[in-house]
Amino acid sequence: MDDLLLDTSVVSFLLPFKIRPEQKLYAPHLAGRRLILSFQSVAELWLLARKNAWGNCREEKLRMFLRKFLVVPADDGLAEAWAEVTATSARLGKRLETADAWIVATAFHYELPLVTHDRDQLILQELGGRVITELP
Amino acid sequence: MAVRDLALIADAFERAILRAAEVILEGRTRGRGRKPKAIEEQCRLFLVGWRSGSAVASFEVGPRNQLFSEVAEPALGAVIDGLAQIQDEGASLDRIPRASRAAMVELARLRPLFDRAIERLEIVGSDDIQRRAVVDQQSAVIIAEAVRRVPQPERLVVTGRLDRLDGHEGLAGTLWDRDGRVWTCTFPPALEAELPALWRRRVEVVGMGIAAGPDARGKLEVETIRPVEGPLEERGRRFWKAPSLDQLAIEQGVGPIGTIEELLSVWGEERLESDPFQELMAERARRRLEARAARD
Repeated sequence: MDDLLLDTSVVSFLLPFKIRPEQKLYAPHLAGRRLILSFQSVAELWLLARKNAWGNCREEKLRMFLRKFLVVPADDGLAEAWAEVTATSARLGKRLETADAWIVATAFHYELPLVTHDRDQLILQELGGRVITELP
Repeated sequence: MAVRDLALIADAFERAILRAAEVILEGRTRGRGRKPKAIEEQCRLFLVGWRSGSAVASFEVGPRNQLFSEVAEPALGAVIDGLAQIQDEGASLDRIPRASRAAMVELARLRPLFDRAIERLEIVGSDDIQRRAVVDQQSAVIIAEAVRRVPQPERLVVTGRLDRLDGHEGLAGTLWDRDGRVWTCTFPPALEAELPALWRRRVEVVGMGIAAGPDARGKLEVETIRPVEGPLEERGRRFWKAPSLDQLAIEQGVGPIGTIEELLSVWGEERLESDPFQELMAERARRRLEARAARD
């Protein structure tokens, strides 16, 4: 089975805003795959909801939407991977912000391809991981 | 003096020294892993002299090596000091140090001696142990009575956290119960396979034992053990032993999607007022800027 870790940037194209061209670009990558989210992405999506005061009905739909993904929680191994990617990035002269590092670490730890539309996360390739992106 | 009485005295003191040594080693990091056999050898008494008259027997304890000063010497000191405290101060058993108290349990066997024309036993240390103590009718009665009150093993059910497992000297573990009391648990070989998975978890153990007191470890010969955990403990355990992605997928009821329409259909007629991608990237840019400013 092909698993994919989706960054929040790609998930945001699946939220109910006017259809962005990126949604069509990423759709073929996601079809037929088990889609995985880091707990950090779940937190970022909830932040969007709370900052924009979505209200109960829309938040309930967000819950249903999130249930379609496999969510990976933090654990001992992931914490070590977070430290590894953060330290290695620093050695490479590239700073990974704490929250970004959780997502990159999840891909790194579980050896999952990371589907992202955020340039800062392309560092995963330099750490030996695989990135799928439609960034120009 | 009857030979059987001399044998009883020697045997009771030898066991008393060994019991005191065991208690002393419980409280130390160094020496804890010593083989019981080595400790036993070190605490063995040897009759090395005999004088007639008032019957003066000389004993030596173990060979003079490193274990002598670490184990035998302090254990012998605990025996003599415990006797001296009971004789001189009339101290009850629960007011003397634990090592001495453990030794007294063995010395309680001396009580019948004083019904057989022996008036007193005088124990005099030599060389490094310049201490003396006396056991007479009165102190023998104190010891025997106090020991009689020592609790007997009973069937117990204890709930606590299995914190330490030790396979060096039989299969033993340390359990902390909810009241903060410490239990030494001994497990039968049949439970050996189950124990690693129960380490650091809250468990219920059932077996024969002696209850823990505020300053004394409980002891339990475990017959059965099972995990008992609340949701918070379960989460804590999962942090250290995380399930695989496949296990998580089963728990969360998630499989592969067909097309992204399956995801989009959840939203129905909902339409957001602002672009979530732009908002997300703005939020990330703000965080990254803050992190950079904090570093600089």
